[in-house]
Amino acid sequence: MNSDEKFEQLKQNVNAEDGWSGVIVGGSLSDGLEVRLSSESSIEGVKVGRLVTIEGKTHRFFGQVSDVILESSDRNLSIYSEEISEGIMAKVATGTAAYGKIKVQPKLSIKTSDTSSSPQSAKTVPPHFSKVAVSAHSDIELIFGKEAPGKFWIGSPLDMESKLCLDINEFTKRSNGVFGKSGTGKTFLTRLLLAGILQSGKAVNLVFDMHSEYGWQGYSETENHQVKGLKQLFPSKVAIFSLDEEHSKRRGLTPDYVVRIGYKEIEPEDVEILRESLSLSPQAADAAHSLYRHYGKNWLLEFLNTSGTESFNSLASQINVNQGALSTLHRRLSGFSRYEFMDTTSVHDSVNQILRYLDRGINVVLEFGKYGRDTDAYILVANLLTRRIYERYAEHKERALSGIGDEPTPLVITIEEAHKYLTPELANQTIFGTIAREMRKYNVTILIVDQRPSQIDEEVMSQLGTKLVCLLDNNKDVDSVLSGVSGQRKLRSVLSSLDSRQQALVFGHALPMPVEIRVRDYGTPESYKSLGFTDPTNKKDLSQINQDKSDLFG
Amino acid sequence: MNSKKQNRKEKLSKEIIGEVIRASSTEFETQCYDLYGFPPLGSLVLSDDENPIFGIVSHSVTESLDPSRTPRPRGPGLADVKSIYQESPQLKNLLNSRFTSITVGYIQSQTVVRKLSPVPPKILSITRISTESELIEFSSNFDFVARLLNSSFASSDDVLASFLSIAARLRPEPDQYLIDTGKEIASLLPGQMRRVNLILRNASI
Repeated sequence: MNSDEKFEQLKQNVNAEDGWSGVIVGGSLSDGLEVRLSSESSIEGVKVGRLVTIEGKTHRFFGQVSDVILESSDRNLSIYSEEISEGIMAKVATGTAAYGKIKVQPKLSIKTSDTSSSPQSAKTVPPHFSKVAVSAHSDIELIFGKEAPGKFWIGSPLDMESKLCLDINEFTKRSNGVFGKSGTGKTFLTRLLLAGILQSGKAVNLVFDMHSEYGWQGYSETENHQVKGLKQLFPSKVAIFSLDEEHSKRRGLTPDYVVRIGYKEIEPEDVEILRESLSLSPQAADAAHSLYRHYGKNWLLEFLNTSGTESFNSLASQINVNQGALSTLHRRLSGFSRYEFMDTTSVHDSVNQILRYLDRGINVVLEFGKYGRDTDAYILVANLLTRRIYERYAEHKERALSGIGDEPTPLVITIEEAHKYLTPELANQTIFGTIAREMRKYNVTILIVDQRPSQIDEEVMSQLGTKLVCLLDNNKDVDSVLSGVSGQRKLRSVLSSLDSRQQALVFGHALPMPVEIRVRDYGTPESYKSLGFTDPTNKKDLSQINQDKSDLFG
Repeated sequence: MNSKKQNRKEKLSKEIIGEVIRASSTEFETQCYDLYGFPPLGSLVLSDDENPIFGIVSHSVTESLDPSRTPRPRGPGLADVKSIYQESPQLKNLLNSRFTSITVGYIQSQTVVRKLSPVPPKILSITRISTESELIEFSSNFDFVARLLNSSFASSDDVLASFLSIAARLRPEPDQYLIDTGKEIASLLPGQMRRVNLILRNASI
């Protein structure tokens, strides 16, 4: 197919009511190209963010509409606008003296003669009068790839039905983030991402499920109905761990494992990261280290069992800590005793259990139940478990590097409310900060789901590979999400024009160019089916199974 | 209808109105056989030689054949012009009607070319009004618009408007024809929308 024929095919929808096409009349690589719309085009059909294809002489360019402009070739048009705004004159003036122009930001280019390779970022611009039209389905596939193993269909470009795919392999190589105001669809998007990772088998997930919405039965606020969790869709690939067994059972779920944390498992670092939420002074937090040195592994229980002013005084003088700081620490830490998952007796096996599942390629969702409402409990448990898992992964990886055993399966840890413990002050102390910075050195990455990205440490934000951003309207949040991205000003306008539901701006390593998407449906029977779920109670499927049975066994 | 029959019928309807008496590359002047026998302003005519050349009537004049003997008024009191001509039949020989046409194209190997003819028409070639089908074919492409707008005639806009008015009437959707031509005019006259508006307004009356 030569380029003209190809272009004719592209223009097929120009005849549609909202179709359009145009030619390049000026512009630059940095400021975007100016495209004059053809006279039969409908300017109302052009939308900012739309993906377009530009047919250059030797290259085909792909870009995005960044602005729509009304132009006039007659400077005095406004003076006699009334005269010519009616009858046939209005039709004559439209597309000639008064015409539509759009700005297109070129992003990628590919040699017309070699469309089998993947598009590279655009380093030049197409010449004057190159034709511009809305990208065809085949172009979307060329840019983002076809749906295939490792290519997960995440949604469609706005106003298009084409499937836009995310490269899961690239996605799991780095830490990523899903951001958006509360109620903009972060959870649905994250559920899809988790399903994509799970389906691809490129990595296993460990989800710290604060509000118990990923593993079993979530809730759709818009449709007011229950939606299936990962365990319901992929029962053999997902295990649900619970911190609050009763809560899980109330929801009709028997968890695969009930997590218990021994007092002995808590280390001074775990207290350090709770410093802010427990309002501890630096001295009080440091006291935990001194206590650890003094008592050893069982420091917390021993410390909490200390009572009476005299014993405090003597302890304070023994470990050389201010007595006021010590008693504050005691007061705050005694709050731990109300956590039913804390166990005084022995060291528990939760970490090993999680690792056993992960090693078998089974994804683990840890439900927090009632503790989801308690940020301290969430931070404590997530940090504690992650630190140990990370240590084990690091050992495993180092062994693999020295030739003993296989590499561990890449692990993606999903965390929520990250702005509470990945703040600039705490990011250095939490294991999540370390994982985000060290990237995939030890095959562990994090997926941050958060609504206040501006509160998260800049360094952590800068290390995120792919960001999926739903509507954000706080300027600081928008700045922090877009920092370091080229074409920030234009993305900002795209971001602020997102709908508050089911739309997201996606950019970073897993995609060749930033794109605004309508997130794929989740929650309908068709959507479950497209994710590979077959309903065992579905009569049609049952009869098919029976048919298969009789075919196989007679 | 077969094409031979159609050709014959068209030939019969071809109205010969005069002969070329002055010709240049850009225009030609025809003297009419009949006094006042000129076609309306904006009509499409052909100097029908072996190389037929298209012109659009842009200027018509009636005056004394002898420049030294100009007509004098007969009045006052004679209101009926028709009776004067009846009483003085010699007037038809003393006066003559002529019209100038802007050259807008020619026919080469049965194809209409909308450009200046390589050579002007020969003096005394016959001039005839174009047939409807010739007019429709000629006006189906807008290249002639630029020729008219660029001509040295002071009132070329009015000539264009008159031509468009005639051509539009022959079409099933006259307004659409004016819109399409209007777009061509607008692109030739950037920044002059008021002028374009005037032309189209005159054409649509």
